[in-house]
Amino acid sequence: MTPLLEVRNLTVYYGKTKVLTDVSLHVDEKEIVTIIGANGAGKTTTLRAISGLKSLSSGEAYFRNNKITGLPAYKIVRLGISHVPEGRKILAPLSVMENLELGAYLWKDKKEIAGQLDAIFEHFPILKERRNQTAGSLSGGEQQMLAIGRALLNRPKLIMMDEPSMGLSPIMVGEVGRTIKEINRGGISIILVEQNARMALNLADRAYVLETGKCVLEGTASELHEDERVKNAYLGG
Amino acid sequence: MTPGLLAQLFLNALSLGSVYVLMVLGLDIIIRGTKILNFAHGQFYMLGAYMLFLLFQIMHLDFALSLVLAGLILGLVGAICYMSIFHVVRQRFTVTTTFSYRLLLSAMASVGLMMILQQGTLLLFGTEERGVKTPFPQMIDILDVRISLMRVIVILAAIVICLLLYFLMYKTTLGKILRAISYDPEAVTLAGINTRWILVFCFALGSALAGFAGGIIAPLFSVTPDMGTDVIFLSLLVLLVGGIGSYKGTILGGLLVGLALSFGFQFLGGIAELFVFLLVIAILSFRPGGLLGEAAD
Repeated sequence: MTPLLEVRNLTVYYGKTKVLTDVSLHVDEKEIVTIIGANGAGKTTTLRAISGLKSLSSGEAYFRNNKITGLPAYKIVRLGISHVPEGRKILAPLSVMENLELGAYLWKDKKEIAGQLDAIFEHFPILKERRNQTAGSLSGGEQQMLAIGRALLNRPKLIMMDEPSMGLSPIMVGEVGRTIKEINRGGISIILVEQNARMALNLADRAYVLETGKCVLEGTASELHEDERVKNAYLGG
Repeated sequence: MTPGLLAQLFLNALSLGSVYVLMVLGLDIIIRGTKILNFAHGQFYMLGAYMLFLLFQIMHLDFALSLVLAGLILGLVGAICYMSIFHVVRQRFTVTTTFSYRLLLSAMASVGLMMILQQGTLLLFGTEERGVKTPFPQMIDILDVRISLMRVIVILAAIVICLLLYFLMYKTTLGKILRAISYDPEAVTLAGINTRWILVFCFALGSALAGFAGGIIAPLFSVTPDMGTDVIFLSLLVLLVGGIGSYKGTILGGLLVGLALSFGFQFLGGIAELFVFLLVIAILSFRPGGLLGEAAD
């Protein structure tokens, strides 16, 4: 079976600095894959390269057997890859509802959108309560929920989440984790980029470890959980 | 000072202020969406006035139709300028290009455009002042006050445009995207929207407002190739006073500068603009982000 997403030998420069070297990875249908690594290891850049926000100097990516490298970012979204960037890129001056509506921009069938909105509101009642407030007035956790809800409205096959646990309280981190599991159960594959390796490895099926722009280790989440190097470097011994 | 004179000064201030409001709303829409400080905005205003001269005065089209056409044509001119100049400039930016450098580069490109448009108009139309006869020469008498109908029309037209813009920005999907793109273009891209055409529209809309403003002022002022130069600097002042990114601030700033100019000319004569600049300095020293600007909060 060909994987849902296959990425081969991504190499990316920022100016003259090489930030990714030959990173390869794949994601199968209905899989949760995590990319862990320290700050500056290239995790965010990997996601940005896949979603088309950052251009590559070499490498290829295929999504459902379509080559996506070289496509503009808005077209990659239309193919079914949603990207929830680092730092919960919600549109602070717009209302919660407007944020969600923008997520559903690609779809015109009002009934289905309404159904999806209901499902999101059922899952995150706080968003319904605050739908007319500006998104900037939400708490960090609520903003993360909004960002995830907005990505779901794109109707993706794959969601890439960049540090969804960043800056959240432990309780909210657990909540985000459960949400990710639930989305995945609905049949959507997930790439989870995390500094919180413990949370990521608990959720994921498989994992990649990035160090200074190179993929140094890969395996199933349980294998990596037991790996001495991972334990020492990312799980606090 | 008689109440009549006072009322007329106010009316002049409001009509002048209305034109600045239209100009600056255009500048603000462009700056927020595309991050371009367009110095050629004043030349779009000037071209709008020439369009009215051609369409209304020479070709005898209906005044309202001429105005709408002037706005549409300048919108098209704006779109072409954006695609042929500013889009090209933007494509040379890399991740390492800082925000201030981006702003500076596109502003310099716009200064070049400003010169080309102004000199081009000079070549085509010469230096002579063109007059556009007012389509509404009537005077309305209310109590003791004589009011020019043309000035009332200018004010009403500005109000209508502001309401239309409000509707566009807050009640339509396009408006939602325009507001979103000024905050975070990447988030708009990630919703599957091709931001390139949104930015073209943004620039065209702003330019159309300048063309409309120039068109509607043509019957009140004389039309000359350099009429855009004064207006652009005062418009930038209004933008600073009102605060970038606040429509309310823009309207307030426009009316304030209109008042200062109108009363200044009456009581101070030629140094009225000096008075306006002093006023702006005073306001900005207390509120550096402008009256209602984002930076003020």
